[in-house]
Amino acid sequence: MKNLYIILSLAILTLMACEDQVNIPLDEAEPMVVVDAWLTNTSDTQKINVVYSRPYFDNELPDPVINAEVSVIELNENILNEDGSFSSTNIESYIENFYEFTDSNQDGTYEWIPSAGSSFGKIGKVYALQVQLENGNLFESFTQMDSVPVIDSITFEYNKKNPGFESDWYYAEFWSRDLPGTGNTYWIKTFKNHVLYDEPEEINIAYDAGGSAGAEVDSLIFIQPIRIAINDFGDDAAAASPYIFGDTLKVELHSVSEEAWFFLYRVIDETSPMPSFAQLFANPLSNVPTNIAATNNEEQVLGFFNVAAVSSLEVIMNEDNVVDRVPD
Amino acid sequence: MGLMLFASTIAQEKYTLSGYVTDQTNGESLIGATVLIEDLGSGNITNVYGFYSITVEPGEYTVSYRYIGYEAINRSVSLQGENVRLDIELAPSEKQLEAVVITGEAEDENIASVEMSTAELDIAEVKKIPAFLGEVDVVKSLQLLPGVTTVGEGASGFNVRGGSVGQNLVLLDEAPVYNSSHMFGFFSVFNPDAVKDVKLYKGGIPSKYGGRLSSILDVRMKEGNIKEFEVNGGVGTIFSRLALEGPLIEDKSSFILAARRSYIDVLAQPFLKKNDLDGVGLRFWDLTFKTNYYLSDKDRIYLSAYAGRDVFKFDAEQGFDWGNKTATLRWNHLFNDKIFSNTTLFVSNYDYGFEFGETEDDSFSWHSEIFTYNFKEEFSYFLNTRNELSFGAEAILYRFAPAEVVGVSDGETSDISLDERKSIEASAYIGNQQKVSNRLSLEYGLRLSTFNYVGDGSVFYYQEPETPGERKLLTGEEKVDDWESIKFYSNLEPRFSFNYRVNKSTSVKGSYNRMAQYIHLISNTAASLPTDVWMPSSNNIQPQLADQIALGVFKNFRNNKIESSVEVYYKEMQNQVDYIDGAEILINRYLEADLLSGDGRAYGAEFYLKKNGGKVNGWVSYTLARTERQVNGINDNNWYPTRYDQTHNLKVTANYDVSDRLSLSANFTYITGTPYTLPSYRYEVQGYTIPGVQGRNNGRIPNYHRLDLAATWYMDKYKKDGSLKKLQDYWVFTVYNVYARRNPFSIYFAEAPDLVSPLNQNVTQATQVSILGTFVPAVSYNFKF
Repeated sequence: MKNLYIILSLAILTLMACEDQVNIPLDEAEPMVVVDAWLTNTSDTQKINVVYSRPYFDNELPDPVINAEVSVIELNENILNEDGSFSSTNIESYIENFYEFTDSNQDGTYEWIPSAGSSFGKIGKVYALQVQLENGNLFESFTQMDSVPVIDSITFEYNKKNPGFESDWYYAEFWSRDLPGTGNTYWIKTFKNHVLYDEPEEINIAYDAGGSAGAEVDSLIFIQPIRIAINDFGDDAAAASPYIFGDTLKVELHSVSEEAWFFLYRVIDETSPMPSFAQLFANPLSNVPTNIAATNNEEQVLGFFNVAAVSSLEVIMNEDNVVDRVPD
Repeated sequence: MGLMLFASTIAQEKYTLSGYVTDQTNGESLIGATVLIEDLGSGNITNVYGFYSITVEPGEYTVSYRYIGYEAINRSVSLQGENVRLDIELAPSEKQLEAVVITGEAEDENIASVEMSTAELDIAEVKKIPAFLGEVDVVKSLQLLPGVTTVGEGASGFNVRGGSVGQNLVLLDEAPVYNSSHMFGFFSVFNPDAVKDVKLYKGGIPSKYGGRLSSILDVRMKEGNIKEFEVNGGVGTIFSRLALEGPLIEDKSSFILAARRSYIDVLAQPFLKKNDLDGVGLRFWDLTFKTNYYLSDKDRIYLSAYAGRDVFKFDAEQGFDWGNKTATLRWNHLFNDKIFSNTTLFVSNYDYGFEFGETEDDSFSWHSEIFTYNFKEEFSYFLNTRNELSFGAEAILYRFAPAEVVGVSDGETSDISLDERKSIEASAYIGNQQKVSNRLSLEYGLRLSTFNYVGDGSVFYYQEPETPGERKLLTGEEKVDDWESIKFYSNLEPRFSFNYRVNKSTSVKGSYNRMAQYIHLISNTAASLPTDVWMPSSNNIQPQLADQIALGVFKNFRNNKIESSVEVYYKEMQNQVDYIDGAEILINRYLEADLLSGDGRAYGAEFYLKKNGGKVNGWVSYTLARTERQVNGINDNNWYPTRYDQTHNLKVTANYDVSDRLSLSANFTYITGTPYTLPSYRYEVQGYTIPGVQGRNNGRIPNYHRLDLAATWYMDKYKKDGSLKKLQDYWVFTVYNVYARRNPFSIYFAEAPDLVSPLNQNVTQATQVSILGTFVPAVSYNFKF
């Protein structure tokens, strides 16, 4: 993996590519409502952010959408069509559970706090998101909470020192098997010493056990590029080991809907920087999709709604979970 | 058709003068040499095999044979009672002795010929142009001519009159080359030591060519010196080159074998060894071979082959590689003095492969390939001095193997290969070049092309999505039998050109052509990549069509010393392939669901001024152009400029022969920045800052300009006694991008890594990328003996 970077640096040195920060005047757009609703079946406080979009170079806080009515409805029957659309006009008659989200701080963050010992939602259930603005405009979205496989183990692979690293080094791998059937989609989140890997290029998603739709790798152990995308290999010529003895590593496996997988796939595309020579491989900038729609008006809305089941495993790197599977 | 039209002209007995025109020093046939019957003021030019044929009334004639850079020859010919075969050898003029090969044309060919919208480069001229890293490059040199552009440094291929990279048919001795670049787009695959003639058709495309919308790049290889053994070679910054050529059988057969290899990896080897990085490799090479054999004075066969490969290896087991292979067998046959035929058989292959995984238990291998098998029969019928009829037919079998993919995860294997695809493209054409009068010449023709998409494999049926621009919905899938026709297309492609000669030094030309393209290059990135796949037209993908009209004025000054032309063109294109946002084009059996179809239009004006000969020569080319697309689902269904739209494109190339030993050259380029897409708003989802856009290609990167310089220093050519030395050698020094301008390739928008604002928000920024950030000096040594 590291060798790839060396090759590319060699190539780039040869080519003498370079980058400059530039100021580009941009057109502005009318602010649009953004609904950021990614819920999990955990006992954590569930949050839905409802704010406005802002000019691209605006690094201030976004304006919150306050006094909205935000709720998630657990339906007692799957009334969604194959493509995720909703076939009945009357949600009220299918309510199994009603979760009301409230914005006590008036900052656009609407919360639902599970009571002690309980958690949000049930695997297999269909959920409806409703966001009603003060002006009466209603936004709606539907999704289903899919199952998620367990993470069997996490190992740390030993590697000898080489020019890419300043010492002997270890990369982590998580071991889990994709659920049977094609079209299972996952988001893998990595926390090293309790800090989330949150750069756009660190988004790690899987379509079945592999990387993309249209080429399904079904019900295998997640393929190696996904298993090892829980490491930060660094950009330096001689990087530090991704993990050292005593590091805590927590891996969360989230089931996401196929639409949400495609959304994240698009987010990677639109947000990961493609520096220097990689610009040859860039696609034109374009909008990512949303699964939220206005139901009683023409207002454009942004954002995404997903309800995930989560399995996780946390380990501390020690002699017992270090392996040497790959010969150096 | 031709016979009916010209029945009146065959009333009287006539005789034919025919033969080949070759270079006296090496036997290379001369393409486009003028054969003129002085007494009649009419004549012909030699075809791509150096053959000419002229049929006239009986008489005694003085015939002159002319070719730029060669001493003209006059011959007295008696055409009384029988046809005359006259093969002529022309000697290079004194000044040109050092040049390796010369191609060129008669002095006023640009005025006299009905051809327009073509670009032809003299390989000797190409060798003097300052080249990137000193590597003489046929394709890059074409970009100095009007109407030919590129997205930027490092981008492979080229764009012609607003067409995409995949709309050019690149032919090497008639076999298509699917990827004409080494190392992405930095170098072209053609070895300059083996190239004899390069011709680009941008418009007015004759009916014998078809299969792509925008252009035909016809590259002809040298036949090899039939007179004596010769070695050409060079040591450059990137490549080392060696070309051997010589006679195999006296006066019957010759060959050329030319090889190039990059040696960056050889130089880096000690460094890699020291750092335990054995196996890391970055190399590219190509091998060109051609031989020919005179079976009789009526038959000649040629065998040409090319193989090239680029290899990027991370270690001994991992990496990727790609390359073209072509082989062409041709047979020239003279049925009689008037009918010249050529039969071609070729095989062409392009493939690439990826290997990843440090152990067998976790690995990924991917191989993709396109095969082309072709049979082609072409006839030229030199009816009389006024008409040259051409007709023929061609059949191509394509085999697409887009992805043979095996993934292994923790010892378990998953085969995700895609079905192989087959299709047959068959076409027939007829055309005539007619001199209606001394002033008016016409070239007209018709091509009938057909395409049959055949089984086996799966056929997919899709339904258009409710919102244009989204993925199509799969509605059905069906297995078909081997060779079962899935979808059949046919198109009539009319071609027409005229030349009206206003006076001796001025002509007005016009042309119309329709082109059909049945196979499509699938590429949604800024530059075309080696991994881009070709797809056949299918039940879901329609053939692309283009109609182009062009009009031009050609004028020469000062006894043809200065050539000038102005051409305007307008082109409309249908069924242009585009992509949904997030299209998965690599390994995807439902790829067709991710493709969009739209219209294109391109128009512009091309200005060209060239000074031939003299101590100072060179040319200025300027293009004012626009190229746009309209695709439902992109840019709110409105027209938008393509990524390769360049409003102004100015190129100046100058060469100064200081002395017999030294020549200096320079070129200057100025190009309007190409379009890219700007964001206008941002929002956060799960902490990621997402850009929002309103439209496609609504911004432009800053303008591009660059100056390159080169000096060629010839070593002493003569011995003390004044005779020519056996070894002829020269040094070329180049500086590319002399004033080290950081010319932008693109600008991207992203959150700054590891940086947050005081309010704990991601900081967004715009970054301008230059592929070349500085000047690039280079030196090369070239020799011939």
